[in-house]
Amino acid sequence: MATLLAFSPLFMELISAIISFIIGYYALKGYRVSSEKGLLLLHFGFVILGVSMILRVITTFYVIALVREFRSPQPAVAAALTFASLIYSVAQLIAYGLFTVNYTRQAKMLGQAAIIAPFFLLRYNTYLELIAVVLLGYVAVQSMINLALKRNTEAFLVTSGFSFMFLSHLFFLFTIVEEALYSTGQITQLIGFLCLLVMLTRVSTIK
Amino acid sequence: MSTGHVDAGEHNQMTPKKEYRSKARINIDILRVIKREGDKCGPTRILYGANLSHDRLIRYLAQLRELQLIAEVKENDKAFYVLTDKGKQFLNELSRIERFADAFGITF
Repeated sequence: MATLLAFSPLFMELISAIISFIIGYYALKGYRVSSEKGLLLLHFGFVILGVSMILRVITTFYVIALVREFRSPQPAVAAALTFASLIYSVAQLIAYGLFTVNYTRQAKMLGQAAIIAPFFLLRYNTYLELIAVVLLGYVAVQSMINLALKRNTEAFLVTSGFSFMFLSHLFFLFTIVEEALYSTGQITQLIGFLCLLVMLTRVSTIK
Repeated sequence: MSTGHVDAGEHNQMTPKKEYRSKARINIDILRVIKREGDKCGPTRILYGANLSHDRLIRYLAQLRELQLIAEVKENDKAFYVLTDKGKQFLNELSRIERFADAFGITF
């Protein structure tokens, strides 16, 4: 039971990664038909996000196996974990950056004054997780603006998805003070991806 | 500078604002006009329905025929266009993708 609980965040991350790949695939399919660059950005964003999550799952499994084998964490294991965390954070930043570019493109087309992302980036450049929170916050706000304009269920689900992902990163950020928030973050992230999956299911069943 | 799309700033107040339409959008519009008309549709109806010039209409119809999304049928020496099965499937797929993109704030 304890093992199951310990592995549940990894399992949730794996499901989130799979959903991310599915959405990325559908965006690519859309790009092939429409040649709309926004869909290509969405494709790369979700695929990179999926890859980063898979990498984290694999690394964590590997580290757990090594720690069990040697009983105590080796310096090489600690170094590998740090490197993997860095790659994970950078990959996520690239993915969220692509989402930000996409929403900024759309906002420009709609004539919104939405060039606020660079200010956020200039202000926060120290901690990668914090930048991820800021980028995702921007993406969530832009998706809310889109929801206000479109007012349909699919736009609502995308807004919910990005908002839950934003919340999950806030929880991850605060694991510094409370480790239990890691699991809460994983659950919130999974809910976010499930919202996107429901949206995709609705869209693909339209006759 | 011509960027291929119409910018709001390029318009004066006398000119009605034109919205940029991608190729995909124009194809959707043509296919939807044909679908709306039912079994067959004449070029004039497509021209007005999809809001295209004659030259562009001819070009797009030729492309769609080449892709086997529409077929030309002749009746009393007049040309009509019908959606093929492939065209119907393509239109459904486009509608789904349009809805998907729309949910992320992407319009095409």
